[in-house]
Amino acid sequence: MTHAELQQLIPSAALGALDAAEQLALEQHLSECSECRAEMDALRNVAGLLAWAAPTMTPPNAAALRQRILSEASGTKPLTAPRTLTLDSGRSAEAPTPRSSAPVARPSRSVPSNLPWLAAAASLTLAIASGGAYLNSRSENATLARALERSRVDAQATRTELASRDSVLSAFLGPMVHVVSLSESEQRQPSARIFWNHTKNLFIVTSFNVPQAPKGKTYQLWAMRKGKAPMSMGTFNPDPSGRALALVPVGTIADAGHIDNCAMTLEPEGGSPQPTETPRLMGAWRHVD
Amino acid sequence: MVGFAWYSMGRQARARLMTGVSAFGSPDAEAGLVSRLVAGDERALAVLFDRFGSVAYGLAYAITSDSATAEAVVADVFSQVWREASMFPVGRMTLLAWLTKLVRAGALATRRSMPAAPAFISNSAPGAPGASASGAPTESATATTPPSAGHAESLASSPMVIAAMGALSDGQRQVVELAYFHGLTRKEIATRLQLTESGVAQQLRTAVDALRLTLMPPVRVPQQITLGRA
Repeated sequence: MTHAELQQLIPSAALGALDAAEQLALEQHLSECSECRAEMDALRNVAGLLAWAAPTMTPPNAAALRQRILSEASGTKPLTAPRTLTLDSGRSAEAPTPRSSAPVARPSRSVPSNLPWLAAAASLTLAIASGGAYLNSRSENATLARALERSRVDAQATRTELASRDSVLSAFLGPMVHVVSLSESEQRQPSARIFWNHTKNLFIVTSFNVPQAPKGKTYQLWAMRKGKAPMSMGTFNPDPSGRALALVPVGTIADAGHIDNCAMTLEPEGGSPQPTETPRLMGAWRHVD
Repeated sequence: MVGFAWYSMGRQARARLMTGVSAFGSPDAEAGLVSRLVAGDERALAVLFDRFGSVAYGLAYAITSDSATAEAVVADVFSQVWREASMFPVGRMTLLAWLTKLVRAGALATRRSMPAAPAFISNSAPGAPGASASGAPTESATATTPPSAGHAESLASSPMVIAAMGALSDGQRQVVELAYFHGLTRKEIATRLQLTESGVAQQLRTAVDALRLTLMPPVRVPQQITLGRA
């Protein structure tokens, strides 16, 4: 599409009315065109005002809701920087990684939706960096621990959960940790990161803002090598907040060192031998160290 | 389709409101609030909730038609904002736009997961809830405010937006509602309304242009803004 054609998409995008392919095309253009980016920002702000067109209502239990929000907040601390959880070795933390595009399938569905996350998520980037300096300060360490703590824990499974967190945390903290970061440019877009701990030979998969899989479905991760069939890295399902944390033994992936891309698809429960849809999240491994 | 009958308001009422158009929060004030959030100042979160809690809830309720669900969406969004305030694109987006984007996405996602997606109800329309968007703004229509608009901020802001929506043509208003509140894409809107997709795109474009002109006029625009049918 030309600049002019893409520009025409902006008003619809502001109202969330683009389908996945259109949204993807526009997102890519926005990353390159400051004029359109400025227009998008302006119209997004106009669209934001539309909330006032809905009947402005006070929640029935406004005081309770306020209290709930505030007490939940007092139990957590804001992330000091959005990229704290991303690998940051000091050398490799520069800059938005280049976006790689992936075709995105728009699943058929009966309930109206626009799945904005899906389109936005189509651009993913992966980065690998050496993990020795991953947690280069105590505060980052603490932030990571808090982030992990925020995962919702079933009360009954607390012990198991804590043990598993300890192991995850120690996996993160290993001396040889590589990370694949499927990052996003905007908040609330689904993303996933895959850390590769070479010492423990584990992939640590995290997801954020990934909607829970519908009943009977599960997300499945794929390791891809050029000219080879995708290899399943396992399945996972995020919790209601969109987060997931999963450990995958690297040993299950043949020749893991030569993976070109990773992808995430939605598959029937139990996973599929091969992907049955176009990836929802995808990104290329890129060595940055 | 249910419309917002209370968009309809007299030209005079609209003109009166429009003279009071102003920013919905200065960028500096917003940046200040955001940095307090990032610093972990819980009072800033309280300020944010007091300022935007109602509009966030109103939007979530408009989409989900369920108060408990709407409250859950709002709680989630404020928690997310608290955790991720450092990701707020200062200077590019207003806090309101950020919040409502999250609320809209959360509410639409929740609505999709409901067993039966509720019909969208603009529950506050005075008169029949079924009164459709066919009610063009008329001179005789009286300005109405949504119910429970108890917060001063709401009163200050929502009538202007309602007026701006009321100034759209019926067709424009309908496509805006289907896109923004129902989460339909242009293709889906075209199918539903039996229009061409380019026709829908055109309607959305002119509607957004009109809303922008009304709600966020260029800085040096003359003081008088004539609100006409776009």
